[in-house]
Amino acid sequence: MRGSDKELIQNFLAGDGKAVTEVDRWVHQAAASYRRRLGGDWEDTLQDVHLELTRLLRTGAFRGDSSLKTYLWRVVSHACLDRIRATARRRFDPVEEVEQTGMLSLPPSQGKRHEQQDLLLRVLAECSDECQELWRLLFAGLSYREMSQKLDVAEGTLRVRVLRCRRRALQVRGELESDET
Amino acid sequence: MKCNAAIALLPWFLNDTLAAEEKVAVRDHLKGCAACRQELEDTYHAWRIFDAHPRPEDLIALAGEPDTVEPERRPLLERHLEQCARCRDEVQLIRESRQHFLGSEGAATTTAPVVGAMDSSMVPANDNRPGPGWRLAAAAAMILTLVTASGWWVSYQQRRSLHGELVALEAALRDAETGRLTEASARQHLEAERQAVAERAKELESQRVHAPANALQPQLNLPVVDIYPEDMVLRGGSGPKEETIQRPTVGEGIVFILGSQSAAQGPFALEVLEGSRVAWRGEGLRRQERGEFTVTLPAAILPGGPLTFQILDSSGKVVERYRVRLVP
Repeated sequence: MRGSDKELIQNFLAGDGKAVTEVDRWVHQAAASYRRRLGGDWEDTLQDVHLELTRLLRTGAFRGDSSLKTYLWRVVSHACLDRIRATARRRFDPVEEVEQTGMLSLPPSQGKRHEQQDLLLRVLAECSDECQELWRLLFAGLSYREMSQKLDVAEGTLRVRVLRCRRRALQVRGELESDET
Repeated sequence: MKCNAAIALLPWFLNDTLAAEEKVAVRDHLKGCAACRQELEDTYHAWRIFDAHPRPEDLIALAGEPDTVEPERRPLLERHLEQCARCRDEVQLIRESRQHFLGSEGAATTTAPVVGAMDSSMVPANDNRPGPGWRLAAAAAMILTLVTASGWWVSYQQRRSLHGELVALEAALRDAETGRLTEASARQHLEAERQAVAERAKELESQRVHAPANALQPQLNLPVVDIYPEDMVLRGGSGPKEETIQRPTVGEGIVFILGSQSAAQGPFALEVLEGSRVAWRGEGLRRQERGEFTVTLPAAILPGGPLTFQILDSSGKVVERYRVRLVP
């Protein structure tokens, strides 16, 4: 770890005014490009970043593999993207109900989040563009009537297509999970 | 409600857009049918599949330090970027952030190209939506008019150039602050740069908000979207919902056709608001052939999330409002 980075971290964690100001300035600069997308969440996000950065530096998570500025940029970018995604994701009550009832049987590799996420991406890559577009419209909060009008298909046809996409996606997931075991 | 009917509605039950009676019927059916509860579980798992995206740290690595991405995972991530406009947009955002903040500092930046930059997944369904031919002709005519318009000295490229200057000035500011100049001249340089940055930021903000619509450069395949006033009641009894539109990626735009129901005469101004903040304002709005208004907005002006389009008369009074939600 560079001497200057080590000194700055020590001073920052000790609450030295200059060090805190310098780190805050870096955080603002690193987050500047995300500001428009964050909109009204900007201030809250900066606050979250400050807390997270303090936690990481205090626990020694930064080992000096990169410069402190690069590390800080990664932390800021991660936090900003998380917030942007959380804001864009429209949480629907029924989905939350389903998640909270505990009735779901989760896939076997649920304990390993990275592998699980990669599995989902592999399954998604095997799904047709049409299926991905249909479900994107669902996530955007369109009713079946709105989707039917937008895509110029009958409502019955639309429902059948979405159902086929669902079944195909789960079939692919089953096949890929079998390949892994 | 029978099982087939309930199963077919499950995706819209999950995205909470069923009519109240349908929602109650599905919910009541699920309470009494174990087989359909299993179908609901399957629908939820499919939901998670279709809503899967790489983790932020993967995109950050891919955008900024691609050599740090595990070789066996890279094809999977790049393939996803080919298919997902939202993630491509995020990668672009990450790169802009890195360039702005780190410049040439940091790990080696052998940046991977953003694959699939122009593919059909970036074009929302609206582009294939069959509508009256005159609407598309009106939009095409407007685009041609924009291309050939003259007399405006502020253009989108000029705004980009100003933005580039702003980035360069901020870099100079950082250089001064890291003490590469002597102390005395550094203080002078710093003060001068601070003032220049502040002035440029004001100028850029003013032009961003007040730049006219025909500052847009020629573009192909622009999506065309019809929107209606918030107080308009559609046939069938339900008012128009907030129109949900896929946000264009960097470098693209959207053609909005505002189906005005007002009889007010112009001239008008158009404001695009993000909350209470004016994201953009255009003067000289005129009705088109059938009374509608049209505006083309580039991605740089359009933040994500809920937006309001306001039409104002010459006295500043709001004539109509339109609600739009941009989603990734």
